[in-house]
Amino acid sequence: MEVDTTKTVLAFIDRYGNMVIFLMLLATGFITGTIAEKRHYRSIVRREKEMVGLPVVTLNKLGEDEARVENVFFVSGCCVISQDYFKLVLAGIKTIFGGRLTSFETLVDRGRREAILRMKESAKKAGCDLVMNARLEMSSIGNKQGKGIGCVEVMAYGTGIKYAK
Amino acid sequence: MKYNPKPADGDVNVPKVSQLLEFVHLTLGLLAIGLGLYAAMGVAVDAVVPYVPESVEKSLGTHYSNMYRGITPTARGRHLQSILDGLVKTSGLKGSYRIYLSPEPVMNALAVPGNNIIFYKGLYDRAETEQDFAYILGHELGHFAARDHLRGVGRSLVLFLFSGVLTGSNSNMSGLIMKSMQGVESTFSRERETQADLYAVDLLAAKYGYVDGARRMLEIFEKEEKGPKFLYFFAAHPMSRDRIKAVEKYAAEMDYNLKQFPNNHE
Repeated sequence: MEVDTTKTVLAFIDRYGNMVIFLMLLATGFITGTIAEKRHYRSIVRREKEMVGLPVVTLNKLGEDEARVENVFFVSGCCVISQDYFKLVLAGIKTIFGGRLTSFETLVDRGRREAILRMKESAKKAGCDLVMNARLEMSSIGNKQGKGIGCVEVMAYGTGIKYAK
Repeated sequence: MKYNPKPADGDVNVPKVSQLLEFVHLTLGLLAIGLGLYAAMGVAVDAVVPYVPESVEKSLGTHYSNMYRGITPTARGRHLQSILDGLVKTSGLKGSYRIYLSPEPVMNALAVPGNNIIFYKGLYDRAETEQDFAYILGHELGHFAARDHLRGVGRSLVLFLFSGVLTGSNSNMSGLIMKSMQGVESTFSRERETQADLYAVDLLAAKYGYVDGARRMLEIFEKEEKGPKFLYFFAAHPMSRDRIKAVEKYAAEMDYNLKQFPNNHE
């Protein structure tokens, strides 16, 4: 038993406003999240190629090369990557069915690679030839009883080695 | 040990599946499961409703009655009550039915548990003849006769429980499911609205010998419907044009007099 258009539209907004906002957030999250992710991956791949000459290893002994070491440094790289609304909702639905949380896999992968790249950049600045004993630490930020802002902090650290030339 | 710089395949940890496709798959799956469960529980509610004892209905009704107790009966309310009493007598329904005239300018009337009818002022102002009122009241009595008011409460409860269980504390998801289900719920209730219309037509024919009030009221509703047609998927009542057609068809089948009676403007 409806009335005129304005009232009908207002009633529609009143009833479905939340759903419209939800769908808008979902679309915004998907579009901006996809753009940001693609852009980030392009940057990661390019910098990985540039930095390929600086090895990062998990070895903690240098063996006979130890005599050539001129200096050692603590090098680290850290980054924080946030999820988008689309990824959050997708992960939410996925937790009902179970399986791989693909939307979070890219998030963690980007964080890991970005942190290692930053560690490499820091080692390069110090003039290092090698980063050894490399380690990764991860933590989520603002995650209190599952009601966090949903972002991951990744820290890569290691010992930068500079050989005598 | 010699180091040969060579990039490793860094993309080994990047999922190859499209996230959008995954989202569509999961959402459709969820919706299908949800609809299946909801339909099953809806059928269960419909099966249980005829056996709900009157005492349960009465206690449910007390809750609603308390909500409207503040509305004091006016001359208009008493007028409606007298029409209602006449209709109840004709219909053979058991129990006493009460009218609450709500001052809100809404063009609607509601059948709520406990044999209560809420009649909004917006609708009262638009009805003119006794038969106009009798049609609306007959329509609501039709809901009582079919126990639709309990079905409505039952289904809403199922909907609420179901969405809560499925999505837990995530109110956004729960809200979305509730909203998307309302469209389906409205389609269910549209069938019941048409049934209530036909019940009212039978009642008008039995009491007055003609049924023009049904068509006149529905035509008033039709005039008020100016919104885009797709919105009516979400509305509980079918479009008035469809209801008028259903009433005309039924009146023709039953050989009821749809013409305006000369002395009905009492």
